[in-house]
Amino acid sequence: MQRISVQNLSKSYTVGHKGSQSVLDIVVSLFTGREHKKPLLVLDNVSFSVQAGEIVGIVGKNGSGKSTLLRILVDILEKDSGEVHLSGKVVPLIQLGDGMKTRLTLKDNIYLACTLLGFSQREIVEKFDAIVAYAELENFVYTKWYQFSLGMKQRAVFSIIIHTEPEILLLDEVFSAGDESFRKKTLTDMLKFAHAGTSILMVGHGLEILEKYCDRIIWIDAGKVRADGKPTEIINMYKEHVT
Amino acid sequence: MSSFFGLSWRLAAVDFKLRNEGSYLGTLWYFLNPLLLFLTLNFVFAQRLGADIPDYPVYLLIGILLFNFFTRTTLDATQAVRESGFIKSFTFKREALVLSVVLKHLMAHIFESGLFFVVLLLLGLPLYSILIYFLILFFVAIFVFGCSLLLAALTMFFTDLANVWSFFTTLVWFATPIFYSIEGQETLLWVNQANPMYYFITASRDGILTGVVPELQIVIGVVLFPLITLSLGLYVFNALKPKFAEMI
Ligand SMILES: Nc1ncnc2c1ncn2[C@@H]1O[C@H](COP(=O)(O)OP(=O)(O)OP(=O)(O)O)[C@@H](O)[C@H]1O
Ligand SMILES: [Mg+2]
Repeated sequence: MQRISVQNLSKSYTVGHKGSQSVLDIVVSLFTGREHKKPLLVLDNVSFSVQAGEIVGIVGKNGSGKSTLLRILVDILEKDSGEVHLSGKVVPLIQLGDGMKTRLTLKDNIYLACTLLGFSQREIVEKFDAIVAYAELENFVYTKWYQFSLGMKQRAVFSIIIHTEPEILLLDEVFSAGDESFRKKTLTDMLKFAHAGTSILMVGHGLEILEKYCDRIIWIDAGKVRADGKPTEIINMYKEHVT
Repeated sequence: MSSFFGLSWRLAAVDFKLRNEGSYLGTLWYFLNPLLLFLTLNFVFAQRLGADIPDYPVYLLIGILLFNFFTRTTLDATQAVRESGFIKSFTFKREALVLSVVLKHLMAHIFESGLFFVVLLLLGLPLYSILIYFLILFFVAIFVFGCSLLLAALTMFFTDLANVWSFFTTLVWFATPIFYSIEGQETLLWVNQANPMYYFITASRDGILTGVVPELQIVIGVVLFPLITLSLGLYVFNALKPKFAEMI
């Protein structure tokens, strides 16, 4: 069964000096002429598909369009053209830690994030203990978010995601800060999820992990799919290209 | 739909918590601001401008509380989407960000005016006046929600809209008969026909102060302005929201 299907997807951003204008700018530009804006093509005719139970890695240089691709898949960003079809419950983990409120406690942040992910109050109450236990942060429930280390934040965030029962999981660089033991635990669980039919799309710069755990790797270069195939093969090509 | 309201409430509660981090005394500021404004204006104007207005303190307070609700909410709403850290990570109904701002200030307003009503009830105000007020407040909230949607969406594209809006609301504050009476001022009365706040405040004063049903024209304004503004707000917000995540 196909869970993700992307066909001829293209996306460009409009870049000028700045993203948005001020009202004063507009008044001024009535006299000086409009600021020149040009489109920046970030995804260029991208096509691929992911089957149920598949773990697919995405590699590519900084700025090659990986996060943009994930955001388009979950409708956070708008695509210019192409077709995207997803079947199943999608849960994204894209810079989720950035969205957390630094001045709130872990408990409040978990409640908030779960609500944003569409949980009802009752579901959150039911799952709360399990989320905290999985992250091994039982002693930090009332600690404020800014007082956590990067790895602790990632644990919390990952734990929330794991408890959403996803059918399609989109992960953007989630294993960069977790320590060895947590990484092992989460990766083992990802394999379990995949066995149960969840598709996982994983963006990352940790090539060993991707090589070891993915069934397939897609290499994106300057917005184009450069290669799509067996992990070892693609990773070697990519490494060669980078060095 | 229920999850939409659930999310809006959660966001409102979070914002409230953040604002008053660690200190519930923080909530006092919700009162102090209008209270001090009221005391000052009452002190300055009660003898002259307000001398011919019956029950001037109540007249003044209704105006201040309602107008304050409008300016606070809409000004806060300009940053509702722009300052939200969530829209690049989560897929949820973006309108909830704006509704949460309205809910937060609506609660604060009910809290403020609640105290004021307790005093009025003790002084013999009939209960139904208060019910009428809450009916009007319902329409004001819809109007404010409509304005907030517009402002939140447009601020994503025009960074300094909050400054423009803040200036504009100050102008409207002076144009609206809050601390003076509009009677006999032809030009001002004419201008205020297009001022939704004029209708809301007039209707509230009629309901609370004089206990009369407002003129038909006022009632129509109270109902129509919110409906038009909300439709426009929803339309514009919806049209612009696919671009939001790209702008921050
Ligand atoms: N909101 C935006 N407006 C304009 N351009 C943007 C915006 N967001 C990203 N870009 C541009 O799009 C390109 C792709 O960005 P993206 O974040 O998808 O890269 P990435 O592959 O995730 O990189 P990294 O490995 O650093 O995370 C970059 O050139 C970036 O400058
Ligand atoms: Mg990225």
